[in-house]
Amino acid sequence: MNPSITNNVRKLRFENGEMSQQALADAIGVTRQTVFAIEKGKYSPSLEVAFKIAETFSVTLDEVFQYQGSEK
Amino acid sequence: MKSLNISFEEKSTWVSLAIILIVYSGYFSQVYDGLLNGTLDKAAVTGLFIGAVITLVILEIVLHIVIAAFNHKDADQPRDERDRLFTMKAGNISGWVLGIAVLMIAAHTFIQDLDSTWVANLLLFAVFISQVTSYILQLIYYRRGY
Repeated sequence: MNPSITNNVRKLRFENGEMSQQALADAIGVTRQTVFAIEKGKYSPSLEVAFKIAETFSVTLDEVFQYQGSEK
Repeated sequence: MKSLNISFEEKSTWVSLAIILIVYSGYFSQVYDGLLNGTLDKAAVTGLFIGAVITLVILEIVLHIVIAAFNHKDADQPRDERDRLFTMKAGNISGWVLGIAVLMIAAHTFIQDLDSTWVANLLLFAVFISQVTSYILQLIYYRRGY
């Protein structure tokens, strides 16, 4: 788990016609459970998947993921 | 029924963990008692080993067919990067467990002159512990996140 990275995936899904987790999962090539884990902050995806999410919602990467700084 | 948020791969890992624990805890308790009391010879142990392997394979096939039948949509999906990462991370640690266990068995064999049946079963036990470690770590990663 990486709490220093947050994301707006859930918000973006709802802003994009209430897209389902399964539809997003199919669009980015992962399972629905992985989308769920990303939304819950339980899994930080690879850069490739992160870019695919941004591409799916037609936004930039930092509109999807935010780095909160290193935990010290 | 909506399959909660447990992926097919996670269900498969739970099933494999349960099967290996049931089959091999039974096998090792029988073999340990048998070898210690002298009631099992090499042929009997070999028979038990083959029986355990066949039981494991049959249970894996049947139970995976069952979970796939109840989750056919998830079962059709290929493993994704999260599944592969968790398998790889767990495999890295369980590989160390296996290596250390094998070294301990080797050291024990050098010090004490062990019968080949004992050595074979100790090595099998090392593989068992390593595999159980791998399954448990994968399940921890799935549940707690990584």
